[in-house]
Amino acid sequence: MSAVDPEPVPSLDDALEGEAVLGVYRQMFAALARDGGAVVDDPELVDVAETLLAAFADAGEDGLSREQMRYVCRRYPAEVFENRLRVLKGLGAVREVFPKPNQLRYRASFTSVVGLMFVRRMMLDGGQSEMHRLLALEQLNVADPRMTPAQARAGAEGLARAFRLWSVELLTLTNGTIEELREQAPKLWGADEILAGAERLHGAILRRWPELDRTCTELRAALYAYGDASRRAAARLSDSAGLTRNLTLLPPETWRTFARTASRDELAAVLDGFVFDAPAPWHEPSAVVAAVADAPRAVPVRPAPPRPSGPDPGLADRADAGTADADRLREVAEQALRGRDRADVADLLDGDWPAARRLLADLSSAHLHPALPYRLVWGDGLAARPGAAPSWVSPGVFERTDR
Amino acid sequence: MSELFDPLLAPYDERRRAELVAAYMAVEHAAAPVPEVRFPALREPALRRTVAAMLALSGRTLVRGADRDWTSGYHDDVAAALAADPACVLPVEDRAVLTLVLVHSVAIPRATGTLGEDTWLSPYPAAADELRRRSQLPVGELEAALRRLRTAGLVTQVKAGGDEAGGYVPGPQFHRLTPGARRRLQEELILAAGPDSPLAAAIRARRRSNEEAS
Amino acid sequence: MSDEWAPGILARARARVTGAVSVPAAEPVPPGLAAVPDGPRTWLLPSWPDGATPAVLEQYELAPMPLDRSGQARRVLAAALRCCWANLDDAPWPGVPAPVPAVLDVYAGMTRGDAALAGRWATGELRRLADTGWLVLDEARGVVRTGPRTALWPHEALGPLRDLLRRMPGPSREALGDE
Repeated sequence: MSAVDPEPVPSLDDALEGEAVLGVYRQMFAALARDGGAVVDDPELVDVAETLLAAFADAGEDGLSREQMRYVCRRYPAEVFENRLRVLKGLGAVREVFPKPNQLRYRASFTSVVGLMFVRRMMLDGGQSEMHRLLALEQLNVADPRMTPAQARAGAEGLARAFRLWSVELLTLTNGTIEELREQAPKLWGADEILAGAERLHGAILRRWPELDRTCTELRAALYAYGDASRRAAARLSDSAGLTRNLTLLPPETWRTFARTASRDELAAVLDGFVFDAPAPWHEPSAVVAAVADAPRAVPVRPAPPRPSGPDPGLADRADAGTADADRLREVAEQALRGRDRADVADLLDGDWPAARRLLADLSSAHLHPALPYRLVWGDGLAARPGAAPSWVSPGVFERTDR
Repeated sequence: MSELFDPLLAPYDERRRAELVAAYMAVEHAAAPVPEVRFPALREPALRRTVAAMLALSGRTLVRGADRDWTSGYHDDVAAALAADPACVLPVEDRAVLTLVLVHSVAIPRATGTLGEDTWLSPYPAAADELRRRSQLPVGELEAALRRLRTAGLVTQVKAGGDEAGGYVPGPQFHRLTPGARRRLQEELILAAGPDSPLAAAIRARRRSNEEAS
Repeated sequence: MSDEWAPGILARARARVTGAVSVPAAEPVPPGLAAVPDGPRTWLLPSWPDGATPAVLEQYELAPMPLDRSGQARRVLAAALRCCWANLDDAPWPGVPAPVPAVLDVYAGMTRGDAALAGRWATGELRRLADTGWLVLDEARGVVRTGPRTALWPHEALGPLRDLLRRMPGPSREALGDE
């Protein structure tokens, strides 16, 4: 059995997410519940089940002993654990097996794990991905020669019902508060692919079983209603006040994908039609006088670097600076910085000495290159002696200057 | 040199006139919105109207900041007219990089719920490394564009410090976007990043109906 | 606001978008822009009410748009003025052209240290000052002049700057000879 992660302290977010899981859980199993109390009302109870199921997955075919189950659930109080185990056993999610006489082990049911996966997905996108899967499956079914018209009708009616209910929920939200709509709508409204998928399916059913035209008309009407509800929800959001709030309506992954895959022109098109001010700094005569008075003077001239400031980065804007040498040095410098703005030279030279010497030479060249925004700063009183022994230590720092 | 403003300023006495000029220069040149409490000509609605009229002479308009403070920006119609002039738009490289910074610094923090404010300024830097390694833009082009954007106050570099990674956030020029421009920027980003989303469809539909109406 | 913008309004807005630009002197100057004549061309710059300049921000302790290494930029501007503002009794604009090496030499004298490195920084600043209208740089010919924005300096603010430039050492002979 694999080691169990150290227990995190549950945060408010955990609690909220737990509530969300329960919400979906309750809705999903409401049809089967004996009474309102039959569904768990504490997110922790779902966590116990998930913890157990994960441990069963790791345990393999041996299953788990009661002590092992208790161990993986040790962060939960004993009575919570006992209660859960009783319910899970009662519903068949965990069952007892006897590999040998007198040896009691437990195994988990595959169905329960799948069920929980389903719950998590439902929570994430409100069933959009399930609908995708369902549509894809139905599409396959419709092409299956063994499919009967009765089965096709039942499938189409089920879909029509789901789309109707979806629209009702969306319309209710659209007439409610904007905050709730903004939060819930992305889970409910129809992305173009879902509608397109549903229409394809509708067409396929109608072509194969023209006699199902009434059922198909129903499905078509449900799809239109859903498309309409989606558009209305989106229109209300896009008209709503707020100058960046709707950015929340695309998932973070969509934004990341865009940033990583969009071409220069696609990115630039976003700012078509925007104008900005040209840089226009003002140099008041008195400020010019003050700057000259404040010039860093009386810096003793030393033979080796310390540099008071960096070489100028402005030149790099010019085409003439784009030489292969500059590019190579920039690459070396960026590798050394690895996204940071500064790095201790001692850390960078942590390799074999000839390589370190080459690197130091390159960093120095990057420092001296007028087009590159880097500098090498040496601590006072220490000279860089790259040719000397590796015991060389210096408080040198390599850093960006284009701040 | 002030014949342009004279018709607007002539009715005021010396003191009022100086207050109007100070407020005008402050909203036009300060990096951030200026608090109205320090400028009588911004505090008093009648005088503020005169400041707005002075700005309008150059196609500019007052933009209200988050608090009771003010800056200036291009009037939406003027911006649209200028944007048709190739000499007035940023180079394509600069626009591409600026969009990247907006996505990483504003859109993603908004989408993950970490950025609560309804603003185009953000404390969450677009990581320099993310920009360099995980975009389609060549590094040299990216760095050069970032330098130009920084000089223009379109991005601000945030230094790495402690555990914080360095990067870029939208610069002070974003204070100057009018509400109309901010809204349009949001729409353009959604159209570009999620063209198939229902929201993009709604934006396109509304623009179509606006065009037909006009 | 009407759809039709008075051309003057658009021209003034445009001047803020493009920064300092010059047009042929024959072209009419839109009203409300400061026209700074420069031989066959005219620079179009913003004009502010009642002789105010952005320096007014300082009185209110408001930050202007951030400017990197503003001290260095202003020292390079001072070095250029030392070379190009030939007659300090006149206005700084239009001044006279000076060889870039002369300006770099004056700048190097202003800040002790590695002259070669200082020269490289200063070159970058010369370009940025030229981009923003404070200098006019002809890189092909290697000469620099005062920029049209200096024409916006109020005359009464120039006294201390004149004093400074009178005291400041000029370029060495070698630097001038390099032309």
